[in-house]
Amino acid sequence: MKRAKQKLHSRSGATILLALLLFLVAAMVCAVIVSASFTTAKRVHDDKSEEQDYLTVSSAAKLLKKSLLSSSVTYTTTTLVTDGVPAAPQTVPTAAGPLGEALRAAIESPGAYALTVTPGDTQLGAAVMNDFTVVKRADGNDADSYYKLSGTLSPAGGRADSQKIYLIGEFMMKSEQPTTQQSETLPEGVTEQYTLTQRETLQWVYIQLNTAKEAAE
Amino acid sequence: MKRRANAGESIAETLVAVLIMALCFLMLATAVMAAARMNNAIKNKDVAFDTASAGSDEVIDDAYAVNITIGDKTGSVSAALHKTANGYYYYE
Repeated sequence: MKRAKQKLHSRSGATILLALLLFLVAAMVCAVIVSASFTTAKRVHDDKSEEQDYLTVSSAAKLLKKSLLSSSVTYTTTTLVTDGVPAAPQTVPTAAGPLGEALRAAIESPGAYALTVTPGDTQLGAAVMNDFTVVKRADGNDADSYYKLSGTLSPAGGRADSQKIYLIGEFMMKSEQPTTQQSETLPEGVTEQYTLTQRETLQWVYIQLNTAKEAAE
Repeated sequence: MKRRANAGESIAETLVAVLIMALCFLMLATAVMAAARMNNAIKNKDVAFDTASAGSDEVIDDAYAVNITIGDKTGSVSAALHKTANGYYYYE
């Protein structure tokens, strides 16, 4: 009984070293918890802007694809043949659709272009493609020319790790069968005269949008 | 000298300290559970976002102008601007 009483009133216990050690462990645990909660709060905030970025970029990518598919370019070459002697051919390009003129420029000078998809007001941000490239394929047959295009669409002013959509596609300038049209009136001394017309029309082979670069390649 | 000293608190005081520590751990466990609940709520919101994007949204402008510029050529396209139930915007 006396021993128990002594034990209850005894003031011998942990040294200050142990107490400090315990305090250090507790402080570390607290720091980890506070840091984890801050990280989670930041992640939630970033998720919200990332999701809007994703919608901005995917909207731009789908609209770009739709606009490319609805645009066309045609080259019409006419050659006047008089008594079997062809004159210098005349080529007239025509472009239709929202991106017809841009595609014509890319066909005539393949290379890298800056591409921007800008909504009319500021509700949504712009999407940019700094590496939009149109390359003429070397293995096209004599009649048809093939062009490959590629690029990476990302939100304008976005972070390096923000959502990206990779675009790849291919189109060809398909040559149609040439047509001839006899001249209704012949110049003096000419026995035969006709116009040879040849058309080259843009035809899409495919356009793909991918979220992973590997899939795009 | 102080480092080697074994003078401390009585067992009653130690028991009170243990009780306080137990209460602290209880509060910590409650906080962890609350965090788990919040995480789950956010996950549900994420799923709701996907669902909202799939269909339940409103068209706020059906003649929304979007300009596409390639090099120095610009084309204007008309699209429909949508707003999802969660307040996100997209066009198509």
